Amino acid sequence: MNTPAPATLPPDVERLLQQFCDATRAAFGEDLLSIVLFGSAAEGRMRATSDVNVIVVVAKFDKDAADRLRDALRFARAAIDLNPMFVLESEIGAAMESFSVKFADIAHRHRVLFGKNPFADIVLPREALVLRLKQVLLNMQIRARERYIVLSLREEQLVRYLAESAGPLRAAAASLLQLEGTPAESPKAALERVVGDFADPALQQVLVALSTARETQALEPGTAAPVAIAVMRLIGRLRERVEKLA
Amino acid sequence: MNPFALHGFAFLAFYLMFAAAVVVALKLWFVHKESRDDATRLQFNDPYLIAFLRGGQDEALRVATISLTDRGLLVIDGDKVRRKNSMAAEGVQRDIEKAVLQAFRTAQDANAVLADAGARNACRAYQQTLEKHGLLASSETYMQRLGATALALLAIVGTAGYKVQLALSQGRHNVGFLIALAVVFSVFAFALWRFRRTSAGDETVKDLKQLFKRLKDRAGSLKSGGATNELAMLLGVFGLAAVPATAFPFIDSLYPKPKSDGGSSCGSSSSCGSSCGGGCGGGGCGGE
Repeated sequence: MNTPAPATLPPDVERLLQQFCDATRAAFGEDLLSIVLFGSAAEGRMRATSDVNVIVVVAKFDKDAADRLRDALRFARAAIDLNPMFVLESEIGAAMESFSVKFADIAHRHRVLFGKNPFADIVLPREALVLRLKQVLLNMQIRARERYIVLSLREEQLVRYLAESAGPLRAAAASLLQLEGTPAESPKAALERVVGDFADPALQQVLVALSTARETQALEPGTAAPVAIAVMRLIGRLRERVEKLA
Repeated sequence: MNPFALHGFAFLAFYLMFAAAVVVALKLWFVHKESRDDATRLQFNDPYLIAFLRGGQDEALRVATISLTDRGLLVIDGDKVRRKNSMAAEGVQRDIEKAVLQAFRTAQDANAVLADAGARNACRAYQQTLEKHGLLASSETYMQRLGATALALLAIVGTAGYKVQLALSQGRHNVGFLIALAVVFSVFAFALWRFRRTSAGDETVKDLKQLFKRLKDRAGSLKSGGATNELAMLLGVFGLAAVPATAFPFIDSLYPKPKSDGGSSCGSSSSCGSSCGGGCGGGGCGGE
């Protein structure tokens, strides 16, 4: 399940992650079971503005331990935008079911920084994953409509929304391909492949725009609104494809 | 070859290289003597400690004022600043924050805190910590630097003085440039002696800037409200020039940038924020 990530983290990120791991070990002691890096950092594909996501698995969440970790976490959050998810060992199964699209991606692409691999023995029920994928895409669709109406006259804010929507879209595409039995090497590649299957030039342009929005937080003036509409169409196509899953 | 046999431009060229070499050697000597392995053991979780190291007491107080305003504990009232209420000081953890809130118990100009005795006292612990870890020059450091600096000054002034005496005795009076060079290099040597940070301190600031480069890169997407310490860290490490005015417009109310007359060297240069004298509310922004 675990795909070893290439060790190509920027040196400052590597160093601060190590410091965070040391601080977490010192804070939680025996209660710390695992620290798992996921997302673009685990793939070694960080951009200048990428955040760093980790899951910290603990046996119990102790106030004193949490207080001891506070300064180190705030430091790392400021320096490298570190976003930890604190999960009890007993919650992993429930979390994977409740957020199965996200966790399916995490389980597929992560790097264990400390302790045992918490995903080693967990298998996501296919039905749960399909159901959650449908829910996630429908939620994205509904939200996309509201965001378009509210933000379409504030182009810079619409671009920010588009940039933020790229990650969930990619994760959904990765889950879709995984459910179809042809997993992609990364969520970005998954979305590219799925859009390629649609053979729709307008949707290809959406991919380019989403990448540009993520990387530069800007799009050509006048393009954000049509891209937002096209994103809704893309979500619709993804939903149609998910509906065909057995 | 005896350099004192050189005349005019030839000797000036020699002296320029000699004096520059002396100043560089002095700097290298300080780097050698002041580098400390244990400097990295100090935890820089406190943005005010970083601001103090980078820009001194006034910079730490400015960062605290901005951070507390961002958190809503200080409010801007016209062209004055005051604390939101008397409860504000009880909710903060750091002494410097308590002292700044106390300083603004009545509406004051934003820079008034720089002269407040309580706020200045609250910064003393930062000075002591940084001196203890060899990052700021202590009185002991200045004493250690004194011998090498005196030697450097002796070399710079002595060489020029001997040549001036030689020239005058030979009836040549074109010694103005040589004296000017001696003064300039003496000032450099003196400035090295007086510099508030040690070499270890310089290295630490450089290291912090590297560690927080990603924060600077995403400064445009920071949100106001003080939920995280990102603004304070950004200010602490890089100074006011790194903060996007569009995201934190209140900063311009606190420390308005001086109006440019368009004719100065600062003009509308993008680097003005950190390089122009009194910019960003009385200097210190950008820090160094």
